[in-house]
Amino acid sequence: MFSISKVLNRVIVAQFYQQNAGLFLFIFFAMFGMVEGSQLINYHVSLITGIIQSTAFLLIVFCVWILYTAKGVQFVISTLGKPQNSFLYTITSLTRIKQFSYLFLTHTLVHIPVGLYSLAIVWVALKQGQPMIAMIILVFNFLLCLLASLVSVYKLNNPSSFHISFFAKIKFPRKKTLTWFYFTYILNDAKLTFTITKLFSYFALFGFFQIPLDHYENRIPLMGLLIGAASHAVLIFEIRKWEDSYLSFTKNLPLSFAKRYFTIAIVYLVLLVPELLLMIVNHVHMTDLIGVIMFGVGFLLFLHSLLYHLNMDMDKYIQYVLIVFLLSFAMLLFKLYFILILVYLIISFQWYKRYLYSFESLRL
Amino acid sequence: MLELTNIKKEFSGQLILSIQNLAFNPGLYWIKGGNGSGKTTLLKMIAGLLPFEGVIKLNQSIDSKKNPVDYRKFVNYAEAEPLFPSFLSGYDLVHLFEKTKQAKTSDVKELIQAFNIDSFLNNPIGTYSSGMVKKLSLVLAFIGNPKLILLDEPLVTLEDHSIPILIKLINQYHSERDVTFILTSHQLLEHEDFLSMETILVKDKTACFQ
Repeated sequence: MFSISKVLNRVIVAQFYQQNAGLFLFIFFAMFGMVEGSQLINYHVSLITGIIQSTAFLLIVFCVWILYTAKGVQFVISTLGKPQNSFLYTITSLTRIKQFSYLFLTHTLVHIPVGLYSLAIVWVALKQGQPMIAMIILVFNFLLCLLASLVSVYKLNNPSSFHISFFAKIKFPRKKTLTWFYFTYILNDAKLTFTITKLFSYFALFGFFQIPLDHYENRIPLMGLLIGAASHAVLIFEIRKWEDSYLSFTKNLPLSFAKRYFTIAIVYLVLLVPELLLMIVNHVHMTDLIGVIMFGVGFLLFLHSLLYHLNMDMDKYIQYVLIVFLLSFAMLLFKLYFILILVYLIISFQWYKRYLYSFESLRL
Repeated sequence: MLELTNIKKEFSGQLILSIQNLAFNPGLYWIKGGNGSGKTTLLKMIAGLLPFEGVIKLNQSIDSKKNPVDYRKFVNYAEAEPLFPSFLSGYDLVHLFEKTKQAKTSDVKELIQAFNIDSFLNNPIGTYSSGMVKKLSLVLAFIGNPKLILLDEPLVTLEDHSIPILIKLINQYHSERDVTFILTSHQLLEHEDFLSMETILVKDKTACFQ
């Protein structure tokens, strides 16, 4: 039993952590690297208290864990299906119970990051006199590992089954929208720019939240987000370049200007979700959140359309970004951000409408 | 069904095409011309992909500039050398076109079967050969309820046994759905293969019927 576990750990568990090292690093950084050392424990206790006390929050956390488990199952199944790992199918000569126990151990090891944070939640829940929540969390984690193992055992004994049904159901009927095309581009071809941009943007906003103030000030998130949004300039340039090269065929699609503009607005809204979460954690008022996010999305849309106006001239673009940034910063000092939102949205939409069909890149 | 009036196309200050008036009745058209004569530019202008001075109208009322959405509902285009995002699957694009061009799913399935592309449609486009990309772009050009289909060099990189399939589809869409086709091709098109075929010559920075 020991040697089989060892092989599974090497072939599946170690590979899982190795291949997802970037993702774990990012999550670790977002969870622990963003908070000042002395505040780390208090921060996480507050976060966990929120999870324990709010059913909605708890359900969101459960959804995230389900996604993580699904990723683990997918990895285990795809690893088992690789030709070089076909020797693993010798496990099928064992009884189903033994197969299950091996794969349960494998999935439990894959589940460790979620399991560790779950234990922290259980500990806080017990401290706060909420044994039922602690029990629910433990049972839920156990069920996730149990279900993941059962699926893997089934796959191991029916090698072709999931290839046809399980994966076909996930991949084949998935109808990607135009918005999704942008995300697939960002996550496939602009990974590095995206990661650097997001880290810088997150840091900038986080830094602004460290400014000690004796009263609530909505200019803090606005100024932090302005710096963060301006750091998206290169990513937006890459997106525009990709649009011109690979999405030119979409100009022939019967989509209104508003729909196309809205598609891009959604992309930028989703891009700013990490910053939005940071603002929620830092208790930015709900009324301000909407304005701040509209400000961020408006700024990104403005940069997007600005590139049409400047005919993709990178030198001019950087100069304009700097000028717009300084003007915006000055206006934020005078709390004129609503005017800025209007200016960004109106100008960007007008430029978009004016240049979409009339823009011609130098490549004929 | 298609009318081009006072068309002028310049690029970097250089005149590429100037067409006083060119009217197309429903039918099949073959645009001829040497390399760099402006055939692709002409098709791209009609497809709404390139800006130009002048007016292009479909069915006398749908102006490509004033009614961009309606115009694009009825005009489809396949590029000579199509370029699609490599990480998307052919299926992703087929769905996008099916939805935006408001096509019937059964029609789309028929097209996929006709060109026999279902075996690789789920794979990322980056793994396709140029012939496979070409077939995909031709399928996309037939999706929806077009009144005009523009095919730029449709035979280039297309395998031999797919050529009769394409010709059959062109004739079928023309006779059954009243679709007008404008093709460019360096390869010789056999007039007898098509129900009818008129020729347009793009030469000396203008275009006229031959």
